[in-house]
Amino acid sequence: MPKTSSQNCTTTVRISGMTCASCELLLERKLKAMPGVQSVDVNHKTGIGCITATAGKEPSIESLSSAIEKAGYSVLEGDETNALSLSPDKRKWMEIGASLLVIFALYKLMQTFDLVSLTPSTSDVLSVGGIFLIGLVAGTSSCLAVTGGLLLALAAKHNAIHRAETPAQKFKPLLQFNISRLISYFVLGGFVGVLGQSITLSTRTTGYMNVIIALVMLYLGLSILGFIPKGSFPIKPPKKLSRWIVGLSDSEHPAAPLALGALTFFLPCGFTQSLQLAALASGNFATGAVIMFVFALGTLPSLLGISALSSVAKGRSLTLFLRFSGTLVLVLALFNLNSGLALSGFDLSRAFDSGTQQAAPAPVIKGNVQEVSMKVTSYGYEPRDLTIKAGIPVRWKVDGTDAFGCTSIMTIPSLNISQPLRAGENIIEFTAPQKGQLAFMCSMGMVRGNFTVL
Amino acid sequence: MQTIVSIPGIHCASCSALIKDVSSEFPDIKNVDVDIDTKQVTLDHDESFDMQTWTQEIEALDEKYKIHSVS
Repeated sequence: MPKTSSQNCTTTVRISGMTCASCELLLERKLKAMPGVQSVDVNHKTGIGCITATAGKEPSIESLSSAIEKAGYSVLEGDETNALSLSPDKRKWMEIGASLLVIFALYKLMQTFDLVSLTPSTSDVLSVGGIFLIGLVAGTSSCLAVTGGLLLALAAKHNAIHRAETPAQKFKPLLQFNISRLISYFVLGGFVGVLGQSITLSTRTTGYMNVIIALVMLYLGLSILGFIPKGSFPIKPPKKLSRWIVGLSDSEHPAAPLALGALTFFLPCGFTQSLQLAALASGNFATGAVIMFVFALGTLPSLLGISALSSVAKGRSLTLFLRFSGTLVLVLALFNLNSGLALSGFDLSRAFDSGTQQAAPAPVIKGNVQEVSMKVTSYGYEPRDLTIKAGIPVRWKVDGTDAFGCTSIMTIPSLNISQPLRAGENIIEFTAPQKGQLAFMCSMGMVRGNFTVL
Repeated sequence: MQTIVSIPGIHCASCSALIKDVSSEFPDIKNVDVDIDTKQVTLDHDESFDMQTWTQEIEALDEKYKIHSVS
């Protein structure tokens, strides 16, 4: 379709309500059918329709408006035009910037009120109520980063494709996601109990998985925000690519949300992992199943909240919702990427602040063992920088009283050490093979610390 | 007579409006029903309906509209 340059337009109209290339086609057909109109070029991204008409036979703005409104769109006029005179691109960036600010402010607010680290320690509350509470907390904190992010991406993608659906229709796949999550937690929790062996993946695999999830979320975030083509563009993506994308949206199979929901059992979420350990320790189907089911039930309110919110949004608020969730998905993706890289051996944040850290003095060597101690707090590890000597066995005393979520498992990925923490003192013994830096972290790689090996 | 075809490129309400709009130019078509979820179009038409022309018109809209017959 040839794009006429805007100078050739005899009339330009601002049209709102267009979402995709099909809207362009529809409006172009409708407008071209009007008497006097020679050619029409509508762009759904800028919202501008350019109409070229024969001189002297230009259709009136009123007749254009009524044709556009008949097709289900609306024309922006007068003050409205001024209010929206920012180009859509600028608006988009402003909305993304505002979303970032809101996300940052919310995070700070939650941190101030200690909500980010609202910490029922997993070690002593294993009553059904306690597990529900853990689920509730997990649903609003670290698990939300992964499971919520996935759900949000699923919802936003679905909404972007099926804008016209009713709230109930939009809610359906999300409900399937949640129901399938509950069922799979029940069944898999039971199996963990029976097998007596954790389905939890090794630290390094968890890291790779985190990276993969982060990349998928990154892609979804970018496509929700419209940085990655998903339809008709002035520059058309290669046919193969567009066909593949159409194929992808075709695969909006009812089974997709079901599968995703079930897969969250294996997602690297600290709370999930620590409760999988509890289910494992229970050693029987019923207890294991109940533990995981109650936990999933606890995470339900916040996940359902996200689902409901994303279903009722429409029109302008839907666009805002897409912007906000796209930005949030991106932030979470970067967060997961960093954690994943840390777990699989590359610590990005370390690479940036390595110059500023203060190495603690080397520990005293008693006999042929060196002892270092550390405390797990709700804010991280204290101290987070420890110094040890290479080649000499280390007795690492870790106070796990305040451990929660992912910090209830201590890992040193490069030495393949992964140890669950109990309340009170835990001893981890290892020997650093060589001089340099040795990173340690929680099972999700979200909380990190470092040994300087001399 | 009824003909059901599948058009995988259908993804939103405007696709449906577009297809209905094109179909309205065919006097032989009495009723068009577009299901966005199943991506199927049901046509109620007379015996004299020229399916080939209709297919050409729809496919000419955009390359994403490829018509597959459903038996």
